[in-house]
Amino acid sequence: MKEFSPPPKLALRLLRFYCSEKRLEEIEGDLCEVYNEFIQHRGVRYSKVFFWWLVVRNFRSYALKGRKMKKIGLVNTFFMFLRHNVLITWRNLLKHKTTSIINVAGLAIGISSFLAIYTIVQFELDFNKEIPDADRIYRMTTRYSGSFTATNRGVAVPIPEYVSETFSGLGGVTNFHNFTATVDLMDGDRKLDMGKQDGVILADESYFDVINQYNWLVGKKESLQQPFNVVLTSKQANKYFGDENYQDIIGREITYRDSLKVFVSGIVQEPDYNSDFAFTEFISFPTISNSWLKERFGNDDWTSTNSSTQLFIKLHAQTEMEDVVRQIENLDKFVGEKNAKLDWVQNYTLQPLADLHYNQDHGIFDSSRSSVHKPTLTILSVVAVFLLMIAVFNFVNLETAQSTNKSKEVGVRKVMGGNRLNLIGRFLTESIFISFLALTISIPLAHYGLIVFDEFVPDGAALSYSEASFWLFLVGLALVVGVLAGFYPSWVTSSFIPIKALKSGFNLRSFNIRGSILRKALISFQFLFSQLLIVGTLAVVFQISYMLDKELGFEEEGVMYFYAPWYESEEKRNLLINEISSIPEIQKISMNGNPPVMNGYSTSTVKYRDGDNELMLNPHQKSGDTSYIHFYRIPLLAGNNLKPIESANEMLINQTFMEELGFESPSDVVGTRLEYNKKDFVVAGVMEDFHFRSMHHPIQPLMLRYQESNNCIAVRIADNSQIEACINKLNEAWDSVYEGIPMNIQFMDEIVEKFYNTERRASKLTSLATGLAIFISCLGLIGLISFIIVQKSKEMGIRKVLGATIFQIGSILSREFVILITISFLVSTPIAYYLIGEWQKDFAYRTEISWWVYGLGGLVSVVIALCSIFSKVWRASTANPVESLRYE
Amino acid sequence: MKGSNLGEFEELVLLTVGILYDNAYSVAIQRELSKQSGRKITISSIHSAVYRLEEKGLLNSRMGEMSKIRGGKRKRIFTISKAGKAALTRASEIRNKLRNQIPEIALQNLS
Repeated sequence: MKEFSPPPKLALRLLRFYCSEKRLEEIEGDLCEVYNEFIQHRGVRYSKVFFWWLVVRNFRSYALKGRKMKKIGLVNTFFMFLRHNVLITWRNLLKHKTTSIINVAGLAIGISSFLAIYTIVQFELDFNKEIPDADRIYRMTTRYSGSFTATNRGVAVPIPEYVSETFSGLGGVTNFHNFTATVDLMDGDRKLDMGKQDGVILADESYFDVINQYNWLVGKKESLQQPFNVVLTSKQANKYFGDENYQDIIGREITYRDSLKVFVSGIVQEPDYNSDFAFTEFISFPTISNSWLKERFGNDDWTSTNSSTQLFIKLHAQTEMEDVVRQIENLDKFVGEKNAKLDWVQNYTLQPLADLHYNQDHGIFDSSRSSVHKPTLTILSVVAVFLLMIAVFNFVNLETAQSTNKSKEVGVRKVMGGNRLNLIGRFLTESIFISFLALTISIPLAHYGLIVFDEFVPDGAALSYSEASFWLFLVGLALVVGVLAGFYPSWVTSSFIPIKALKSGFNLRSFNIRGSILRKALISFQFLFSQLLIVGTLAVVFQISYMLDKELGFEEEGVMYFYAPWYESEEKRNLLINEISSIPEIQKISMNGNPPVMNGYSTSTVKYRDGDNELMLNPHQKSGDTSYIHFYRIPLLAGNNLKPIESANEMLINQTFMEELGFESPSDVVGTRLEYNKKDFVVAGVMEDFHFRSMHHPIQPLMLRYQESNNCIAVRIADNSQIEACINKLNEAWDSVYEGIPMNIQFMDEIVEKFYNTERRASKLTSLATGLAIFISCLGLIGLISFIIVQKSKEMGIRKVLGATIFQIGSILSREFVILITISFLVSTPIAYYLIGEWQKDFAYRTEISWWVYGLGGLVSVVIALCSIFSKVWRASTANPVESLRYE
Repeated sequence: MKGSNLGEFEELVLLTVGILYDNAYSVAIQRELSKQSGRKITISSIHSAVYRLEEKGLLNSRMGEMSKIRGGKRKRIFTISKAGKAALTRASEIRNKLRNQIPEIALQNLS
């Protein structure tokens, strides 16, 4: 006999709750038996649903607890009424097809966009939360001050050993290196190329103690004590070796970067929650000292730091943070003494695991997914709530409008003895039913939405169907939306006095004044949201194009740059430059320490003595050869270009720097002496200000020094149409010198565009959201206008008979909406103005959003609203008045 | 109670209890009856039938052994009581009596 599989717990608890003592044992046993038999035919998932059905069906007199009659009575009536109400709802839906479709579609779109955005936000917020002891794990990062300011997510190679030997109060320390490598497998004599793998790290067993998120399937973590061992995650093992038994994979050979041969010594199961530690293979740490890896990772230099060298520590549960901070201060002191000769200081900081996924300065890991901008998540959530609100308001509106149609029904029900509670139940059933219907449609909508708009969706984010909380959330959402939408109309309609409601010519107005005020308020809110989104989108678009169009102050057009590997010899670099100089498409070449714009920045300290006053400044620094200012066409305001001698100790400064030093005329500052890097420098000339960072930042003081040896090679192409030919030739030249090392060419204008990636994504998203918001609001308008037209059909008929024109009738019908939209325009404009102002504070250079942009928002919403109701109004105003007036 | 007359479904259940002698608990009855009659029968309709029959005194019951497949719960085993036997006999007697009174001609040339 097969194993006994226990049925769903919650269902069992329900059964135990309502079932009488006397019958419980046998009934529970019977149901379990039926359930287990069912599993064999239909599978577990289906059977679980079936068990629920069994438990619900078992809700009968023989099974119920004592004081039977009363309970059974209530329960039975409840079910009877529910069935009745659902049936009536269904008939109502079919009767008013247009309204039903509008209701369901609007709500479904609102819920699905909310669902999709919620999924994205939830996905990003979930990262690393479930790693055991996540709140006690920290990454140690490096911060530089002194001659330059920067941060690095890595630490110098000797630091981890020092930390694990001298620090106290730690539950674990682990050090690993990120390592990207091409992978080859040997299948018999055949070599299988598995391509480049990003998830490789060099780690020891302590990694699995600190980041305790794995299950060992085969092997032990101790195997990482031996050199040339590698542990794989089960997914990676399947990718490399197919469906082979894990036991058989142990001992297989894997080759990294063509020459590093290692053997599989274990397989771990990766966690099923979101974790940034998405590494796929773990090469044992001792491999470093036993192979060529030691040249890359084996140095014991306290000064050089590579971002791939990662150090994580886990605190003991009782350890106080201050305790660790004190020890880090000691570490800083120790490193400071070691590096006394340097002109910068390295400090160490702890980054909590909770910050890992969101810190834009540090990033996550080398070649991992990029970190997430938290404010963007906030904007997303706000947009999601907006969309949901618009949809719910729509629904409430249409329901309130419809409710006046139900006066007859209410009258009859009351006469037949229906009490208010029954009536409220009846209308709530209707609205909840519709919201569940919309929910059912919105799930596939959201599912495909996430696939279609994958540009905004982080890899791996999907609706979490398998989680109970997801379904609970959905059901809760549908209930709340249904109750919100149904409560007001059900309250109002159920208050009708039957005799008045039944009398013909029942004046709906007097009963519906409060309802129409609510309706008007909700319409205004909808358009308020839409207008905010329209104006917001326009503002973002204007700001982005302003930033991209603004003159940078130097020529970035047609400039490409790439870095020669720093660890290769100068001769090779000169060889490369020779090769490049002979490419005809290239107009000019310049050697830079760092180009005018780049990812990241560096600053340094400069001292200026003006008489007795000493001024400390922290300017940005760039360096290059003498061609720098000519190459980028940076105008000199005074003085001369740098001399091509490093020991001349000259620098060019920008206008802002000059102003900070207290000079007004550029010619005055030339010849001023400044102390930099403990040496005496002289200002050789003044450059005009140019934007070397994104427009988020104002132009800051900048100095340019001559440097003899530069890694960054910048080239300018004469003609943009030759880019491709030029890149091919550059690649050839590169390969002839640095064979096997990848070349990374960057375009300067692309770097500039990348500065605004976040804003661009935001603008795309807001335009999408705006489209949806307008669409849903228009659906609502169409529903309302058709309702109003039916109500006013007699009035329109009389007006036509008396000679009103189509235009006059149209304006009567749409006047209310135009007024409402105008009101919402008046309210939304100051809000939009304030919000845009807040958002623009992020930028040092802002474009003025002129008044007509706000006006456009209002105008667009009026025009769209009028267009959407136009066909309905047109039909109503051209209709033959006889149709509406004839009364037979 | 509407006397001790048997309903059609009750009669079937009662008969099945007899067939399954000493092994007649709800799930077994459901299985057997589904097999024999070819109808789809849910466990809760069996439950309501056997408990009603027990209340009418047509079935006796006792608790049987427990098993793993039932999550360690015992089953209630039903047996036909004297009254049950009498009711069965009466039901089939009435049925046969009525059947025998149908004239031959009424069953010929049926459309």
